[in-house]
Amino acid sequence: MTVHHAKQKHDFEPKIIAFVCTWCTYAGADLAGTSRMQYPTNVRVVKFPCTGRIDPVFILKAFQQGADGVLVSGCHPGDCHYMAGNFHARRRFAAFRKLLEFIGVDLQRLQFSWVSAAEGGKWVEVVTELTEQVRAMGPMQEFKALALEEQWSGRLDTPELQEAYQAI
Amino acid sequence: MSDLRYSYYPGCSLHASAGEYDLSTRELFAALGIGLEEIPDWICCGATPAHNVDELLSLSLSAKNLALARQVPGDMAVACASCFSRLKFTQHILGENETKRQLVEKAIDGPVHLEHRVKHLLEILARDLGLDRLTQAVKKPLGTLKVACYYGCLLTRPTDVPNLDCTEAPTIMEKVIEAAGAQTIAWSHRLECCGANFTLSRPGVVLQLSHAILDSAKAAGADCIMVACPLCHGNLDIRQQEIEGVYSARYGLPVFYITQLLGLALGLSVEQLGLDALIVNPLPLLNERGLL
Amino acid sequence: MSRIGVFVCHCGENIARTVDVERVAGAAGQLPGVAFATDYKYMCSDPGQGLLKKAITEQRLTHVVVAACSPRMHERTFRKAVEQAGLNPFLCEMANIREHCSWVHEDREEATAKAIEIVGMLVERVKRNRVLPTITVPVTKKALVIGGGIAGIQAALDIADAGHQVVLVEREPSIGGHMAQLSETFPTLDCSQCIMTPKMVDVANHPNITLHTYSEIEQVDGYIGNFQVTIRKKARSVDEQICTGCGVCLTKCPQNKIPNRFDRNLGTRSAIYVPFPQAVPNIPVIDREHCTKFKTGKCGVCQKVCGPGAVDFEQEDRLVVEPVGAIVVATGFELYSIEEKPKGSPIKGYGEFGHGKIPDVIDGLTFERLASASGPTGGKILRPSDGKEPKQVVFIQCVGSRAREKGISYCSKICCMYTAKHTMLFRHKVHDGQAYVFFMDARTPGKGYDEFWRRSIEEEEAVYIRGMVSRLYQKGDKIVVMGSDIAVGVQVEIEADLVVLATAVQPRQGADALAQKLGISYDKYHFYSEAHAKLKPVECATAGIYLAGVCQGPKDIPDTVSQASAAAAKVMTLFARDQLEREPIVARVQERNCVGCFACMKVCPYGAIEEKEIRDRSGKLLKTVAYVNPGVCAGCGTCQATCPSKSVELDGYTDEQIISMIEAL
Repeated sequence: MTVHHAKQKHDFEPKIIAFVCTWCTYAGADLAGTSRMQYPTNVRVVKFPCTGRIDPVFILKAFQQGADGVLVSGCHPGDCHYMAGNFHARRRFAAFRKLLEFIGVDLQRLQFSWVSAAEGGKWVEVVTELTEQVRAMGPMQEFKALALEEQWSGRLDTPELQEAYQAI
Repeated sequence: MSDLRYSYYPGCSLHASAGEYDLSTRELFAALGIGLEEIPDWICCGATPAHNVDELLSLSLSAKNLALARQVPGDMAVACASCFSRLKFTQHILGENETKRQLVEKAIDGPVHLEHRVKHLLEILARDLGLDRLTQAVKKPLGTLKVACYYGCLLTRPTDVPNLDCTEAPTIMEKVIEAAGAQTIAWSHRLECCGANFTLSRPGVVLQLSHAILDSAKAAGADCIMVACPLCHGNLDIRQQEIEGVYSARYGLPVFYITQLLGLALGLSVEQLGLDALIVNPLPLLNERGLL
Repeated sequence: MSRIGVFVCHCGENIARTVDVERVAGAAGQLPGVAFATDYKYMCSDPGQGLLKKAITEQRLTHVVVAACSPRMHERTFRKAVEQAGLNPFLCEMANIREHCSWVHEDREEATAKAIEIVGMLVERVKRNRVLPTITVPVTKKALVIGGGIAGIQAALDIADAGHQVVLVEREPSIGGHMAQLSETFPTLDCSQCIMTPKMVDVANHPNITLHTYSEIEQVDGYIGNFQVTIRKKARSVDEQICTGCGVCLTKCPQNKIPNRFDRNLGTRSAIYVPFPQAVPNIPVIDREHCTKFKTGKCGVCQKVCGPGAVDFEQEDRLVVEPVGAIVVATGFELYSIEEKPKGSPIKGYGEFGHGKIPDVIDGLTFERLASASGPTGGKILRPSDGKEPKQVVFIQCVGSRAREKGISYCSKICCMYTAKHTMLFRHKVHDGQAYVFFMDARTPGKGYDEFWRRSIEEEEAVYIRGMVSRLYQKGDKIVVMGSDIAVGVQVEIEADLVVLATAVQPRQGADALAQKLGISYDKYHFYSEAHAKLKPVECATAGIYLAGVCQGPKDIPDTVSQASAAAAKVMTLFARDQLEREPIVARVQERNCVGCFACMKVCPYGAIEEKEIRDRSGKLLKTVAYVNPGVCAGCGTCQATCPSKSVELDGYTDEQIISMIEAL
């Protein structure tokens, strides 16, 4: 089921990073390839043995490095190659989402999904949807501003900070 | 004096053909010191035609009764197995189906109250009052009487709806009447259907089914049958003579309501318990066993 | 400074059509750390690999990135090539520019840009790849088989025949399991004892098999190749070395009216007993619960009559420790009982069938004992209540099975066939008898199975009634069976002399406790879970433990034997090498940073994390840290993401490697 989109130029091409497990979603993405399905070029895949290995820090790091959207995807609940890794991931990210929301990240930029090795079509769907969703939202600014603020601007002026800054 | 209080839902049968069930229930509860206040303006639960022709109607009738019951403090006490089943079903279905719940709320023009606890008399006697207290209240133990406890089909079925007792092997009736000193018998047709309301539309079916029940109770050596449902009572008691005629049998099995037998054990009179209203005359048996 | 080689594959036209491979190689060549970049038509081909190896040597490459297809396709190929060229294989990574790029995009410009970025990510990653030595684990070439039914016997014999030592542990006094109880077996009707007992004797006589009957698993430590198993040998009260199995004690024991469990309580046995005459080993056990000597202190007849003096009332349980390299679990099943279940049990009994209180309502296994030539009736079908021959027998299928409301939703798989067999055996023994079967569906997949089932109907005239039974009750000396025939749409009532229930197959009581000792997983019914339903049907997710027979799920004898042989083959594969090699993608603890919170231990699905004590030279305990056993770790990395102090790292997927990929964007 190859889908041919009329190629359309956009003003903004979002950067999407996908953290996937090697057994299910990476294989699902491979299947999308062998089935010659088409999807936007915006996604970059980082492979893990298991979603259980994915540290929330990676998601923060991705946003800091200029990703506009992050996808985390692994085996369906109960299908984990390592028995329970995806359950640990699920719990971890449920808590982490709350934290992200609290610090002001629009959760629309972060998607969790289960894509099995047999679901090439679902992989295409998830990636396409997230790309379009994030494209509509525009570039991710929050963390860039934060990254700037992290450099001492002088606005947060305390003797300790000043001393620390000069010591660098 | 007990501190138990209930909002009493007698249902239509108890105000008509099963007047003695109503009478004996009130007398028994009064004797046990259990408060029983009839729900004002209660309406028919629709059993059994309503739920077979219009589910919304049937659910709305019971939902309305559940709402009305809130006027009187205490859990809802129900005597009739059919009313009990309809009320429990309504709570079950409306608890699971939001759409139906909304439809019913529209129909009864008010909110649905599912939290109200609906209890059959058996539950009140066996669990709320407790078997020990029941035994303590007994003045005339029924030790000489062999009772066949007949549940019928609705008291325990289906699984997970009434939650009165084990669906296929209940013991609550036996426990209650044994608490009054009676002997109970093990018999095969405790849970078979008597034909219920087919009694008017297809009496042949009722005769066949009730015959099997009477036959089985008699064969197992019962002196009498005990029921907790006005429809079962109608079929086994009122139709008994007719069944004997059709099947050339002789049973002579008095059919008591549970409240009547318990009332006897508590020393209540024939008139208080409406024993004279039964079609199969129980007085010879009770006389013979010295229970009067 | 790293000297990375980047090799971009055209994959014929597959990549080159949409990705400008030359530009990718050119861009890669500009990346810091890249010493050499080229493209080639087919990197995986022999000349392609040759080019790779040559470049490694000539360019003195330290790391390699092959930009080609998915690593799931050829990572192994290229890592092998890299190894042949003298590099550690884990210094090679693949950039997937085919499945994840050229095949899923059409715009050449965009696809090329993406390919360049993908290669860039992998170049940053590979820079941080470390040399990972292949992990080797020594293998103890001795197997433990738990359970002495047909599954355990088959597995033990296969492994022992291959020349390896086997320790077979059986809970009962004799091996044989359920198959020893059966009369004849479908679909050939050969006598179960006749095909079973020779195998039992083979086990007893095999020089490579150590048999522990009347024994249970007490404790299991260790990991694949290196388990330490503690076996509790229950006190038999008879010395196995001295007893000759003459059987005089059995005949003299005055306590001889004890229901025999092997005969489903139809026959009786003495307090000192062997469960059945063909028992292996043929050494009695004293049932201390019923023995007069143990109850009152008086008697001791068996001791007096025993010529060799084998009876030992003082004997106590003994613990034996066996080092083994692999474990085959074959603990089998038991039948669902329709009796009232204790509160809290998810399984409900059948009140409508009388909760097991009607004596002539029996289960399938009891019928087997009635039909067995060595059974309590000598093979005559006689009903338990009055010993009369039943003429009308009703068989009811799916009792407990496929009955969600009773707590079991699975199909027990064997009942359709054994009920068909029962109707035949009944007809063979009671010629004027009539069998009725209430069934939902007849499930007969298997060689010769459907033919067999048809025969029971067409030749042996069993009447199959599609429908369920609502109630059974005793009426005089008959049992009234009330059911429905949904094919005709009528209620049926049959007055039967005997009712046989095909009750559900369940795992053994205590299957969960054993699983916890072994560290293997089980489903909600306590059937043990295989590692993969299709591709790893005999392996447990825990390395070195294999499954055989019904403990994994309901199955018949042919399937059980196949699985047992498969499990044995897996054990032999493991034992074929002295050392166990495995991919070194395992977690490693930075002991300096570890605070010993053991959060990792809680999330590890494999129990690979242990406590390790760090002591100074004087032996003083400094701290306790986590230690990952590389033989057990499967490399999921859940521990690393969980560790609050970031003290555990998964080799091959370190934070450094992952973050470098993210930063490359």
